[in-house]
Amino acid sequence: VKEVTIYIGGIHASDQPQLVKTLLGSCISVCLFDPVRAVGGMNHFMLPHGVASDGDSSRFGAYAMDVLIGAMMKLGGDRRRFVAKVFGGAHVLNVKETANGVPQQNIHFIREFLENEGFPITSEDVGGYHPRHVHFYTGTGKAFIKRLGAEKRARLLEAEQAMPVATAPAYGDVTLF
Amino acid sequence: MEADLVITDVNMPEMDGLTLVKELRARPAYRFTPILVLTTESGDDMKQRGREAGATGWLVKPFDAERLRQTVSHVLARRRS
Repeated sequence: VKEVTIYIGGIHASDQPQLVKTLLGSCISVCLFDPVRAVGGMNHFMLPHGVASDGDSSRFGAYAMDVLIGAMMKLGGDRRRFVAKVFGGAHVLNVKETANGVPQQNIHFIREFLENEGFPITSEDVGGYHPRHVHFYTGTGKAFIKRLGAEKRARLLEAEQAMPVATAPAYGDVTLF
Repeated sequence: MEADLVITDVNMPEMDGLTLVKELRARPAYRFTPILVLTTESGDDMKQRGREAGATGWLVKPFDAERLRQTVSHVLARRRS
């Protein structure tokens, strides 16, 4: 099978059996799957630090979900059949887990989003202190998680902290015909 | 019931947004109704297809809520004048 690795801000969807991989710290990946058409896809996103309650930061996550949903619909998927698997939201910082930290905000956001969209969560592995490797098979909807040791944390943390600004999606154009 | 304004995505189940725009435009009640397309589709060819289908405007996600409000007010005002 073809293998594709995605990074923060990325998405990949396919109607062919492919293996999508990513490495998560406090970020979230959602794997969506349409079991009838065997269309699967994954994204990888993070809400920016510190502004999660103002409504603005959720656009990062909402946009990542919109792009994934749109890509899967283009491949013949039907959102009414989508099921979701949710991974990530680890505390990679060496601080105590708090209710309003970035990982918790990410987890809260995605649960609420999926509920609003009506996508059942068929599998979830979120929170905790360990980074995760995610392997998702687009043809079957199966996902495998490998938890990584603490030595990977520092590097991941550095990468993630640099990312929110770099991956902030600009608002799209408005065109009147 | 007739709508004053329609906002639609492109990638939707059963009927895609461009087909919806075409079908609405074919109805007398919707010939001049503002129809905004709000979508992650940002390609010029898609926008052109939207224009040809009869869309009033094309807004690419992610969108700014205030900008959407302004656009809605603008096309409604334009419709009335």
